[in-house]
Amino acid sequence: MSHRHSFRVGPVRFRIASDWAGPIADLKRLYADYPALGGQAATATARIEAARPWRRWIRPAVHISGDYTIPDALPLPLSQGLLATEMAMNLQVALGWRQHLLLHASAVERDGRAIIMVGASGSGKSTLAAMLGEGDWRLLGDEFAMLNPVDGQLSPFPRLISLKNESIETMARRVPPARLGPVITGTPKGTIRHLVPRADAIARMDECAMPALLLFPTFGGEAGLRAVPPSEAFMRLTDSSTNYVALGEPGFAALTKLVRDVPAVAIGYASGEQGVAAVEALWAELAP
Amino acid sequence: MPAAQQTWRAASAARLSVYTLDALTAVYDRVSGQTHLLAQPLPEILAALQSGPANTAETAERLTADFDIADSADVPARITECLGELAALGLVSQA
Amino acid sequence: MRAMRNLVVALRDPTSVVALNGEEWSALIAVARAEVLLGTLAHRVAGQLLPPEVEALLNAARIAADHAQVQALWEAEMCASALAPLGVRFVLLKGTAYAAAGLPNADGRQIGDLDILVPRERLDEVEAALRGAGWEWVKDDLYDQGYYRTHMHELPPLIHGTRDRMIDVHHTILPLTARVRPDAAAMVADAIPASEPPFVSSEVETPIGSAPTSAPLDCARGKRDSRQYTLSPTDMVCHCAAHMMADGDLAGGLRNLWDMHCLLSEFDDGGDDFWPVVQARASHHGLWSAMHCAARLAHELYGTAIPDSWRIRGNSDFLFLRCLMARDDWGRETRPLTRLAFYIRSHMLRMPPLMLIRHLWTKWRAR
Repeated sequence: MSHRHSFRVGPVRFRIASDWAGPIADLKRLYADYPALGGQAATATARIEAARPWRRWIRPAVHISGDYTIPDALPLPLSQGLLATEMAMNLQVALGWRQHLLLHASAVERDGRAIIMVGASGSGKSTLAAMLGEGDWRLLGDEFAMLNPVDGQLSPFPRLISLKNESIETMARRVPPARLGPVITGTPKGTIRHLVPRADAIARMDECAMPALLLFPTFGGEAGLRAVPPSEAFMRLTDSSTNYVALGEPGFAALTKLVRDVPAVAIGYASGEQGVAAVEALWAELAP
Repeated sequence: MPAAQQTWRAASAARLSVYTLDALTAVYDRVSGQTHLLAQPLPEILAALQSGPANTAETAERLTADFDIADSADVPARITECLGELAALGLVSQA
Repeated sequence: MRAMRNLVVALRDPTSVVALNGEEWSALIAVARAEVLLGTLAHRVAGQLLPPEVEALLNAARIAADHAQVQALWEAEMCASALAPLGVRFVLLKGTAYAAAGLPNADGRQIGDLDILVPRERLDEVEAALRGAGWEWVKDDLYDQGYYRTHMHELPPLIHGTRDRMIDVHHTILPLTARVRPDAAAMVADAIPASEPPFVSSEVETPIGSAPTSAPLDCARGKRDSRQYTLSPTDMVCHCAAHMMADGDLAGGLRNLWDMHCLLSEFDDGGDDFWPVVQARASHHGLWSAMHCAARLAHELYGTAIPDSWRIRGNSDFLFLRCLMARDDWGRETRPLTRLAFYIRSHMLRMPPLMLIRHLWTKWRAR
């Protein structure tokens, strides 16, 4: 595989190879400010390769692969090569990472204290995190929140943010074009465009933060707040974790401590602005 | 043997990590590697059995010492049922 | 291919890894994951001077593997409870058996489904007892069910409804269609009670902030039921050889071969009897050529000490070796032609050609 790139995002050192030049060129542009491995070992290998050798030339189909592979996953068209690469990287983390408890969540930080936003896709957690990350908050991550079972802190994992459909336009108005990836149309989730996190999120990727609020957002729902009891938060967090079962007791200890120490709130909001306002109001109430 | 006569033994406290969240209690079992969320009165019954093996009547007696339990005819049946649930999770076993 | 070589050398001689640079580690981690040997590697090189990012990764891999073993042994325990009323002897196979017996290859070894061997005449009772205890069919398609029952060496796979784990119930160790028919009844009859493994070390498992768990535990393991059996040492190596050489297409071969190496090294007491007894038992099962070949390959790659008389190389050993090592530094399988040849070989061994065609045809039609 002649096209390669490697870089570090928080604790994960990626090594990526592709049968095609295009996706790697996109990666090199979008991840330009991320640190190189500097002679250290890659801890995750992701590959995107032709489903069959000849498919590299005829009607190219991109197969997502690496240390871990989903055997029956359908290949993507080459026009979605960057998306395939991002998915391949996510797959390696979801299935291979054991050093943190992984929550399928976005997270932001202010004054060393973090909000973890947990929700299914479509809950608006990515957009909310992206908007907060352009304001007074530092983005910690969009896809995974990494909880360190030893000290209970969140390790930043500021990957590209995957914007979908309407939120693309919302964010494109706020950031310079250099921070946006190519527009990828016709994916199973509609149109996707990747956003590079703001410079502070990348520069400070080794600064951990203590969780202070667990948020369960629902976009399009009725505006309002509901306190979430610890047991419900515990259940929803185990559901949203890709490695809770694999971690055993350290995962249990980290998660019970989290839901005990940190308030959990479900919020509904009808627009991004309303969501940001609700988060700010909630944060002001929680202020120590 | 009728279920109510069965003597049960609980997993020891050293084997379990027990965490009361609210109405539900999270339990991690180091032997099975599994997490359980227990609703009342399962955690209380588990704790009562940890002072030594007991059958349904003895368990009820121990619970009465610590909790205000209604003096109702269906209490033994309910306790027997709970012991069965705990046994299915591997948290208690036949002594 | 350098990385595959480094993997084999690291398992053989853990001190070798201190010489690896970052790029070599990247490749070694990738191929170890591809061969499902990361946990084994992590256990093997523990205590060596490692780069910090590698040490953190391997520590986490080791803890996760130890935890997975706890869960696998619990599944065996649950199976024992379900079968207790039958008073049937059931024999743990493969990963769970190695863990239950506390064998060296169990360290860090990934354990998939629970595999058990039961006497063929008790199969229906076992099936009923498991279904009564919460296990359910994975495939309720009638063709698949019929296929398993008529031609395979196991019941169709069952999965536990709440624990979400699979069990494979075997009544012999190779498919009924295979040309070799190992003596499963003798294997069950000569099985030995699973020894009591030490409760998994709690130091590595205990996160900071939680209570230490080194207190004696009344765990189920402590009173492990003697109804759980493992194969006798000689049958265990025979089964390992059968699994590798006759049953499979050599995929996962490096891991199976590591099992072979560890088992032979563990059971060989240095006496004059061991190797002739293994040879006689393998011959009895019709597995001598598989056994002989697996032992030669283990000797070749992992340096297993085997008798001089076993060292005559077979004509196709180089092909086997090439297939075992066919992975590049990015973890990708290489030499697709060799792979294909082995795939066909594995199917030919499993079933006569006409049946193969019927199987594939029915499978295809069902789509």
